[in-house]
Amino acid sequence: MDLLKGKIKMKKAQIRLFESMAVLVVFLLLLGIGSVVYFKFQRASIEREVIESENVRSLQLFQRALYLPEVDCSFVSVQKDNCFDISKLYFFSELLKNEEHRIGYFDIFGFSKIQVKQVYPSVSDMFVLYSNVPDNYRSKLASHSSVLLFNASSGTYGFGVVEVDYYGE
Amino acid sequence: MGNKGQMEIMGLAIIVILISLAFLFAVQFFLFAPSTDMVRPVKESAVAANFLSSVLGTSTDCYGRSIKELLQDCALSGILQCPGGVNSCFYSQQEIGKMLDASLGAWKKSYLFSVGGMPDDFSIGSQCSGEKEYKQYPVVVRPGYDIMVTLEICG
Repeated sequence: MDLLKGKIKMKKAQIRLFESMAVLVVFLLLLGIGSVVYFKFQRASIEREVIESENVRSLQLFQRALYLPEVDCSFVSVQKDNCFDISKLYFFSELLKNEEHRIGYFDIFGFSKIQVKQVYPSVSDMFVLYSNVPDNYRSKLASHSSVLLFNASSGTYGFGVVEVDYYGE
Repeated sequence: MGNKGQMEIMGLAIIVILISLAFLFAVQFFLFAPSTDMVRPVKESAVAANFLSSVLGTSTDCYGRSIKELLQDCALSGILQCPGGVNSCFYSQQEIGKMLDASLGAWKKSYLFSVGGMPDDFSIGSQCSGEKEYKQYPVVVRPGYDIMVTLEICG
């Protein structure tokens, strides 16, 4: 009789043990699933922030390219908004063909390509102002705007477009 | 004892259900949260403003007048005769259309450009149905008389 009681107690203890183990296994499973899901969310959130940061940098580059003092139209120290002087554009782009000078502007333009083209009254070729395209890039954000192009020899203003390509690494 | 076991299993099941519900809410909140793009409206606004200032300052083949001067003439009398035998109103509309095609049209953007406040108002493009960036530029014709040049770029 005592032996039987002992055996029954042992069985009960085993069942209790298995119960506790089952709870532990389920808990660890849930914890594992929760961790995987959490890290996936975090990764998605970080990727969104990287894209947002690239968009902001592209906007900064866009604004800098449109308001470059090196190529603006200025008359007796008075600057005309949203205007590029064609002769200044030409000489500035020639200057930036030299790698030493291009490196000097890397802090301002980074990995990007800035092009200008007159579309009215006559269409000109695309004029590359600055070009520093990396061999491998993760993303490319293109921005466009229109600009006045001042021709000092004729004293007239043409209508041009500026294309700014930002390369994210 | 049987009831005790059943109660324990039920308790465990409730915990699992509660945790699943919490995960579902978290997925809804984090994965499907609407993303707010703050950069695009700023860029579009700059594009609209730049277009208006550029187009108004552009010189034309009509006696070397700028688009702004042609619009001022159109608002007053439209007596200026431009190449092709057309008046300043028609000529300015035509030339603005060319610049729109070469810029916003080439960038595949929908727009509505309009000039209002003069006898021959005109517009180019189509009305935006959803989000848009909107810029207006007043052009002084004479003291007390302004015409309004408006550009909407559809989002």
